[in-house]
Amino acid sequence: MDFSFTLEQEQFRRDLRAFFAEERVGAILTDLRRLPPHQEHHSPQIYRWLGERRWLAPNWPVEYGGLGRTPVEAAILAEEMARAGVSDVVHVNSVMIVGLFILLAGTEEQRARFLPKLASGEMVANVLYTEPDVGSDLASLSTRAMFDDNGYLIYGTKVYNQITQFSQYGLTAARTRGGQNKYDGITLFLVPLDTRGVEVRPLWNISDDRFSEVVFDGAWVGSENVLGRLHEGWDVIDTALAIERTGLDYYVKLRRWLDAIIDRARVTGRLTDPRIGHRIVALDAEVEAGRAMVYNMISQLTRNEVDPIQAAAAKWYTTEVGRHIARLGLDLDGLGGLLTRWDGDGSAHGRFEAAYRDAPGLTLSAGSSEIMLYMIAASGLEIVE
Amino acid sequence: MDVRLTEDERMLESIFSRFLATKLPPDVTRRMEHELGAGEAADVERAFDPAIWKEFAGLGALHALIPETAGGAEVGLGAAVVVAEQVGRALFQSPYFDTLTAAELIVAAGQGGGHWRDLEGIGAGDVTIALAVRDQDWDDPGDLEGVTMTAGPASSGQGYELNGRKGFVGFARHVSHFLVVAREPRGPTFFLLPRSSPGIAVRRLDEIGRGEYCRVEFRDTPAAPADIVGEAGGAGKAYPTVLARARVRHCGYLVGLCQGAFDGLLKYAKEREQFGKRIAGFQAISFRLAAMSARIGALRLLTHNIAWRADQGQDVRRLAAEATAMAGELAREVTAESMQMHGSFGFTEEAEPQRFYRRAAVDSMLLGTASQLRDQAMAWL
Repeated sequence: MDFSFTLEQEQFRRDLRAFFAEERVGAILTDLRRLPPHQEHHSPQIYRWLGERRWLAPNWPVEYGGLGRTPVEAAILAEEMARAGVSDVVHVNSVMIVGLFILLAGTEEQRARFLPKLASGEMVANVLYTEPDVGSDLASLSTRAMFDDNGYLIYGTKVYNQITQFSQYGLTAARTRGGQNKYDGITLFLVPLDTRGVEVRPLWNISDDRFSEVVFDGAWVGSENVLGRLHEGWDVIDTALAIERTGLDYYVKLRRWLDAIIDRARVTGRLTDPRIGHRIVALDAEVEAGRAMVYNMISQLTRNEVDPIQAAAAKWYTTEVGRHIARLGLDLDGLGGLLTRWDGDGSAHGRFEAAYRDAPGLTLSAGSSEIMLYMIAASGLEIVE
Repeated sequence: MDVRLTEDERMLESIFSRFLATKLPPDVTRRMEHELGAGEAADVERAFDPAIWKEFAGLGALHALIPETAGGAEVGLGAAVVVAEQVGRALFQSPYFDTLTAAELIVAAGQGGGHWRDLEGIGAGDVTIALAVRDQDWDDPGDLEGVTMTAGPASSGQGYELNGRKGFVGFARHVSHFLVVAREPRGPTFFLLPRSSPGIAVRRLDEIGRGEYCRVEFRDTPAAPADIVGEAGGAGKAYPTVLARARVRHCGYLVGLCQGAFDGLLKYAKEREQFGKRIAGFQAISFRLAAMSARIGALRLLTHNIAWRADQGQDVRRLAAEATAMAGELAREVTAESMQMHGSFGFTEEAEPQRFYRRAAVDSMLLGTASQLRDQAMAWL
């Protein structure tokens, strides 16, 4: 097996590191850490700087704002962003998920209209799937879209969506007809979130990344914003879910958490205490295994042959490891580790309590652990229907 | 970046999976296990078939992994992992892994090391070597500093006399040589000695794996300075790196062991019916099988990733120790789950699950217990 990066890819990593080490980037990151609770630490400015260099979507074709490189470069970007402590939640949703949908299913006009702006960081888009009564069983969604005046009127409620407060467009799944089964009749829309009839309100949650609720009450969206084939949105969702599920965004988070644990344990002298040290090296092996699984998926992406079963395994494995890292982080400093970053005494700047609040989301987002195991059992091992 | 087996690796995989499936199917490897309680009197011919060994070596199992400078066809650690996986899957027990490790120590000692010429015999399968590192059964094979066996000056005034004993030496009744660590006045030193050397007594141990692990006593065993591999007092020099590579191969073996146990389990769970339904269809079973297959896949990719790093010249000592601990634990878990899901049938002598379960107990500790491995890994953080 060949896990090597090309010289060009190594250079890309060095360029990214040099950029993230710039003083202006560090200054913004320091300011973001001082924000009060419920203010998300996303920096549109850093994104635009990355976008100027075409680094936000290095794997996209040049005409759409990318560098025309491979998914390996996209993975290197994700690793380096995490290493620098730049929040990736906007990047993951806007570029890696919505951008990918538009690349896969968009018309030429839509690609030209959206992709360069998403890649430059001047436009942000997010995903609006989940509803109050619909989670893992996504195909049962009940948001409706009715044809009206060369467009569609949308009615329904989407919840637990991320980065809506930064987004100009929401990729919305809605039912356009009662089909023969629940998978038929779903259509994807790129809805401008400033449209009349769209109401966004925050749903405060345990993590530092805010959720929103989006209520569509007859919001009109033009036909030119239908993404992919009418009524056949499920096929696109299914394909894109498998492709986005490389485990990459989870792995980079785990590596960052574990590195923070190692740094902190070194400072407190507990790195040589086997009660902590053994747990660290046990988890280090699992994080490295996760990384090998992630790069296996990236390697498959570059060949355009993604195995959805291996993707599910990568997602399941990395996020399950995440839970254990979060627990170790919490144990590291005892009660002191519970102090948030808003407490002046917080020893590790509240990193570990924040990770502990974040961890339950890993095994839920982008397909829960239970759904991943079901997929492996059903399609991989062929033991359940 | 291309995370697939290389052409060489795929070729080795197909050669050895076919060979092992034909020559060493489960009913054959089962017959090669000794009877429980057979002890030191166990039939020496039962556990080792020289004809099969020659054929195994003839396919390049050793030759392929020896450096080109020593007349081998070195295809890298990644390829070694592929062969190891197939060996683990078949539960094929032999002096294979010890011999490879010894060969790497001989290579590390360099062409002037005196044993260079043995590499050819190793590649052909004529020279087989058992590592004799541990003094006590519970000793950490990663720590040579604690070695108590001595290599003192011979009473004749010529060379050394070795005194002490070694535990858990594999195939000590079959190999042509021992690679022994003993304390020379300058420190721990490797000696390569013919098994027929005077003053060596071998006693087979009756252990859970029913294999060929022995206690070897050395009493005034003569050794010459020319028998030293590397430098006198210099055993600790190349050993950590060579041991790390041995651990990567061992991870490959354990991946194969896990996969072998899992494949049998999956087949059984698809056939066995209870409550009018195949048991694999129950969520209590299916989710555990899914999780196991993902974890075995993770270990396999990790092992190949470490092998790749080693082939790039990176220091993999920490990762190899960490991964071996993880592999040992997974092997125990998968084989224990197999016992559970097979029910009482899995306990019976003719059933495979209990064999994998017993082997996992031995093989998970062979290159260090999980806590010994993690102690070492911690120090390299």
